[in-house]
Amino acid sequence: MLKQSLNRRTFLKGAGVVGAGVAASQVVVHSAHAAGGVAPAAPPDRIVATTCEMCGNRCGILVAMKDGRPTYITGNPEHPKSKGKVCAKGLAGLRELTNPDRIRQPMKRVADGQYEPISWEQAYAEIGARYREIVTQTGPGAVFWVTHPKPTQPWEDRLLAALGSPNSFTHSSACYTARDVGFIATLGQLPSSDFGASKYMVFVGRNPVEALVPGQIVSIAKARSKGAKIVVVDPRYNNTAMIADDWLKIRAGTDLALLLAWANVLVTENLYDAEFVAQYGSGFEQFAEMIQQYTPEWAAAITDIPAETIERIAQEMAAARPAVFIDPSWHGAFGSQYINSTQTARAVAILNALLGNINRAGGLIFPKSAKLGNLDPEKYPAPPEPELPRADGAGEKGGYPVAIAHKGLVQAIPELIEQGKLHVGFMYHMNLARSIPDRQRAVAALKKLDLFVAIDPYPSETALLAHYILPESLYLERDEMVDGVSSKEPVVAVRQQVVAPAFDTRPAAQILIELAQALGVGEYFNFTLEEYNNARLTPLGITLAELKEMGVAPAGDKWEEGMPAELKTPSKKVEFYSTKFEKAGYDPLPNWQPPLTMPVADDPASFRLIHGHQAVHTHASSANNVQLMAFTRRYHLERLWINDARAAALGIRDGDWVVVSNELASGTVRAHVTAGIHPESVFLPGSYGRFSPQLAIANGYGLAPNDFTAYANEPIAGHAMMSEVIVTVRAATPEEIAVAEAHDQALAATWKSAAMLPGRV
Amino acid sequence: MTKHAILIDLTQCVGCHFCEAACQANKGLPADTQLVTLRFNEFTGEDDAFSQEMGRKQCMHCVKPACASACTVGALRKTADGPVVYDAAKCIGCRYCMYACPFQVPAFQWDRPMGLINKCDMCADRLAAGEQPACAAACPTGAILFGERDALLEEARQRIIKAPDRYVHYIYGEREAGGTSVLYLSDTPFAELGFPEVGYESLAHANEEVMHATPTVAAGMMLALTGVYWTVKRRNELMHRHPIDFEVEEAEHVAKNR
Repeated sequence: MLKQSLNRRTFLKGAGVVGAGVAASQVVVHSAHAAGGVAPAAPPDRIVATTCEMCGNRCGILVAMKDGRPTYITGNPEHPKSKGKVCAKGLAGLRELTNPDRIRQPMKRVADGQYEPISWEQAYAEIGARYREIVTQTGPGAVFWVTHPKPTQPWEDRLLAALGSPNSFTHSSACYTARDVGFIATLGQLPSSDFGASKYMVFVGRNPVEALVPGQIVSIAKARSKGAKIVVVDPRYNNTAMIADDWLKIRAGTDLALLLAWANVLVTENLYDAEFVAQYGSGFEQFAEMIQQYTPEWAAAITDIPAETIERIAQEMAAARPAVFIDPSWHGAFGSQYINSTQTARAVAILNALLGNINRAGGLIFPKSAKLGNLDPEKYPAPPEPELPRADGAGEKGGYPVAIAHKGLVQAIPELIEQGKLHVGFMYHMNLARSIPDRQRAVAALKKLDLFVAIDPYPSETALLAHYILPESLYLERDEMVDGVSSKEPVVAVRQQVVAPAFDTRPAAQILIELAQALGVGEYFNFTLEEYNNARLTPLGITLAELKEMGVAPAGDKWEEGMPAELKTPSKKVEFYSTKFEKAGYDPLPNWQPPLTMPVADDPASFRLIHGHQAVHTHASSANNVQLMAFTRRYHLERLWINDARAAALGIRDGDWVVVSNELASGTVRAHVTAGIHPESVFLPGSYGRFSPQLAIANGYGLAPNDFTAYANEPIAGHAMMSEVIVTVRAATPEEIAVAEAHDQALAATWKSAAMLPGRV
Repeated sequence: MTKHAILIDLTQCVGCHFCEAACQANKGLPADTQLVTLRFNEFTGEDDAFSQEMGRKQCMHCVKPACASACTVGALRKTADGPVVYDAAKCIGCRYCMYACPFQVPAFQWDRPMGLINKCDMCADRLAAGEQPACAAACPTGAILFGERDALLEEARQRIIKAPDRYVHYIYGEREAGGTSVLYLSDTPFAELGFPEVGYESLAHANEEVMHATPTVAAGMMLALTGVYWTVKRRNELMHRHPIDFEVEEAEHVAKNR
C-alpha cells in the first residue's frame, strides 16, 4: 500500500465507494468524452492525507489542493473510522480556516473579559514566573491539566508528570466513565461492536447516525442490507430509529430494568449460551438467582415498554446469537447519565456475555491496538510517576476506588478550587465551563484560580476566564503526533500540515515543548516531534515520510475470533458477580436501582431533561461554524422536543416559544412538538447555548442542557449524572416572545451576513 | 439524452446531512445556499405508533426539462450526459424557469442584489471528469446511487420485487413530467413525503412551441409568459385529469414486472 503514492485515482476511489446491494456494473462512472459539453472538474494539484479534528474521532481525510489552497475534503478509504466517508462536520472543516473569531496572537487578561495581545516570549516568561511563585507555596498537587484526549495526550501526561502533579482530567466523567467502569469490572476491558458482521444490533441510548463515526454508519448499513435487524431503545425517536425494526420508547433512566428483564427471559427460558457461561463466567449462579425477580411484567411497569415486546426482543436476540450485540455505547443512556448508570453498564456487559458473543464475529470484539514504539528512555528519560494523591479521589482508597484515575472527575474541578485544593490550571482542547454541570459555579470557581492557562484556537467561554490564552493553529495547519487506531485491522495515522498556520498561532506540539521549558521541566522534552514520531513508527518498519504519503498504514496483527485465555478481571473470567465491586463496598450484582430524580408526577409542566448529539455538530464546539449552523437554522435543530399530548395540555404548539427552567437556570427556545418522545421527557441537543461574547454566530443561540444540570458525583464511577435533571416547561408570555424574537432576528442577521459569503476562498 | 441518473432509496436514508454538506463543500457554495435539501416527515399512527420518513428535494433532471425550454437565453440546457446544467453567465434573472419547473426546484437569490438561479447540475463537471456526483459519493448508507438511468430503473424494480413489503410499488421519476433522471424509492406514498404530483407529461413542449417562434430575446420574454400560462394551465389540467393513484400504479407495476 505504501509503495503507491496518493494519486488522483486513489482519491476517486475514496470518493466513490459504491452503495451496498448494487452490482458494480450499474454504477460504472462514465468516461469524460461524452460529457455533453461540460468542462471536466479541474483535477487537484495534489492531495494531502491527514486526520480530521472536527470531532474527537480523528478520521482519516484526504484534502484536495488547488493552487496551494485546500478545496475539498473526502474520507480516507484506508482509515477504519472514515471508511472513505466524511461527515457534514468534516466537510465543513475548511470553514474553520476563515472563521473570523479565531485568536490571532497570545493574549493576556488585563481585567475581567479584557485581553491584550502579547508575544509568545512574554507569555511564556510570565507564565513560568507566576507558576514558580504559586507552586513554591502550594506544591505541585495544586496543579491540574484538563484535556479532551487527542494524539497529543502522551505529551500532556508527560508534562503534568514532570511537574509532579497527578491531577489530569478529561471530559470522560461527564461523558462515558460509567460505561468504562461497568465494562472493565465485568469483562476487564471495553469491547466494541462488530457492526458489519452482525445479524441483530441493539442500541440502548446509542444513536450511531447522529453521535457518529462515518465508518460505523457504513458498516451498519452494510449489515442491514444483508438482513440484520436493528433495535433502538431511546425515549426519543432518534435518526437511527429511521432504519430500526423496533423503536422502544423507554421511560428515561429505566434502561437497567429493561436489561434485567431481557436477562430474565434469556435465563428463565434457557435461551442463553450456557456453554459459554459455564466455561468463561464467574458468579453466574448468584446472578441467575437475582434475576428471577426481574420479569418482563415487572419491567413493563417501570420502563413503559410492553412485556410482550421485552420478551420478543430477548427471544430474537437469542435466535441471532452469537452475531448479536447490545452496543457498549458512548454517552448514550449509561455513559454518565443516572445514578444507576454504572450498574446499567454492568448489565449491558453481562447481557452480551449471556448471548455468548464476546470476541465473536458480529458480536462484541476486543479490537487490536496499534503496535507503536516509544522514545528510548536512556536518551529521553521519562519523568517519574507522581506520588501525590489525586485531589478528586479518583482511583484512591476512601475516594472513588474503581473510578478511572487518570481521567478524573472533571465536574469536581470547581469544588476542588473552592476547597483550595487546586490553584493552577492548564486547559487544552476543552471548554470546561460549557462542558460540565452548573456553569455559574464553574465560571465563578475558575476565576479564583491563581494561574489559568488555556491553549485554544478560539475565544471560548472558558478561554476567556484564563490569565493567558495561547492560540493553537488549527488541525489543517499543524503536524502532530502519530496516532494508533485500534480496530479489527489496527492502523497508525498521522495529522500533517495542509496549509501554513494563519496569524501568530503555533501547533500544540511546539506549545507543549515551549511550555515545558517555561515551567522548568524542559529536560523531559529534549526531542522534536519528528524524533518522537520516528520512535513511535520504528517497530512498524515504515518512515514518517512514507506514512505522510498515505496518511494511514497497517500497524499490528489483525483481529482473530475467539475468547482470550484470560480476561483482565480479578477472576480472569466474565464477572456476573463483581468481586471488584464487592471489595469496594458496592453491590456486586446489578440490582435494579431507580434514577435519583423523577419528574413531579402530578405536575403537567414537570419533565426530565434529556440531551444528545446531532449529526451536524460536535457538542457545542461547532456552533460557530457558519456552514454547520446553516443546517441548524434550516431544520430548526435547536428546538426543544416535547411530547405532543403533554404540549397540548400546556397550550404549546409546534414552533411556539417556551420557557425551560429549574432552580439553576431559565431560558427561552422554540418547541418541536412531536409524538416521537416519551411523555415524561423533553430533549435538548447538546450543540448550542454558547455564551462567549466573542463567538459571533454561536453566542446566545439555543439552550444548553448543562445549564440545568446540578453538580453531583455518582458514588461508584464518580461521573456527573448528566440526566438527573428535572425542568418545568411553559409557554412563553407575549413579552418573553418579543424579547426572544428580537434576539433571534439579530442573531439571524449576524449569521446571514457570514452565510452569504462565497464558500471557498 | 437520458444517460446518467441518480436513484435515491429513501428507505436507506438516515438524514445524516452528509450529502448536503458534500454538495455545498464541493461547489464552494455560500453557507445559506443548498442545492439539495431534506424533509423530515413525522407520522403519528394509532396505538402510539410513530415514524419519521425522509423526503428530499433537488433538481430532478427531467428527460425533457420544462425549465430549459422556458429559458429565453439558453442558460439552462439538458446535456447529452443526463444533467440539466445552468450557465450563470447567460442567465438574466428572469425567473421563467422557476414558474416552468413542475417540481419548483430553481431557486432565485432574492436576497442578493444581482440575484441569479440556484439549482443542482448533478455535478456535471465531476461526471465529465469520470467521478460520481458529490452527494452520491458522500452517502454513508448507499442510499444515493449514481449510474445509467435504465440500469437504475431496473435496480429499483428489482428492489420492489425482492422486498414488496418494504416499498410502495412506485418509482417516483420514472414517468413524472415525462420521466426524470433523479429517481426515488420509498416505503411511504410519495405525496405524503412532500413530493409534488406533476402528471406524466413533459411540460417542455408547451414552452417549446412558444419558444421556437421567438426571433429575439426581448420578444421571447414576452411570449414566454404565455408559455408559462400554458404550462400552468396544462399542469393543472393534467393533475386534475390524472391524479396519481398509488394502488393502480402498484398493480400496473407488479403486472409489468412479472
